[in-house]
Amino acid sequence: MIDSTGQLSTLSMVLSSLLLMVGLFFFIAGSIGMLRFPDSFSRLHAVTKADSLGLGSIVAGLMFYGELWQNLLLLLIWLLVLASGSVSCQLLARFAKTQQDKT
Amino acid sequence: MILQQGGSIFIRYSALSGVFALCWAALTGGRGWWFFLPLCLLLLLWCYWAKLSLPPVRFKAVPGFLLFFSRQLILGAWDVAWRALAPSPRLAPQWQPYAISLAQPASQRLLASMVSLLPGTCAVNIETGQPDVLLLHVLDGDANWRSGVAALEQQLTLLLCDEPVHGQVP
Repeated sequence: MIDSTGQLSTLSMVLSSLLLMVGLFFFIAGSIGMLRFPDSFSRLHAVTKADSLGLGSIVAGLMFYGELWQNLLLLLIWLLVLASGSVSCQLLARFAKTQQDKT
Repeated sequence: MILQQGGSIFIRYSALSGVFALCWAALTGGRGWWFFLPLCLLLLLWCYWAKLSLPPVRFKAVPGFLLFFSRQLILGAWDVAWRALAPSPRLAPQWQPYAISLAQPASQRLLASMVSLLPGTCAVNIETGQPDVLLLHVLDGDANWRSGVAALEQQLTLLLCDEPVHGQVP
């Protein structure tokens, strides 16, 4: 993807920019969902799903600039965030439901 | 038989410590092993005590599962983004029970974690009973969320060796 002069090809740059923009879109949509959705549970949907894909897209966009080892590391970080995001969403929802049932 | 079981447990926990070591090496650049070793031991003890281990998978089912999960992840994010950005968001949040057909507690926990990344669903709790029920928060009760959860459950049945496929004994 990077040529001998250390520059990205035009196609790689376009694809990378596109993926970064898609990631940004999902982050913004997730943040707007956090503000607009009516209750804590619905807000959890917004932040978990949109941000997971947003980060994945940004990681994919950054992969054009890195070497193999760095790209594998980025992928690992995304997978860890994906796993921790889905588990923490469930734990937060369980906590909120317990609090709701108490009141 | 006991030796065979012991060997299987040893292989599973060795694989688990291998995964921990790989993650540590990647995230720290191979530094701080003196801290990692006792931490890994504690993690393995906790996994043994809580009966957690890497579930054995059917490797033939892995590509299909990854494709399915990637598609659902994109659909889930698109669904929530569309609802967040629509001029008048279409939301009808509801609590819905879902009867789980997966038999193993570990598979059920995996389903509960993954379902939160599917379009319109968020798992809250697993209520044990006959059958076990997954309590879900759905963004739109009128949408067809049930088919997505059922499809994920079917994919997990195909993926995990501990789950019987079409009446087979695991």
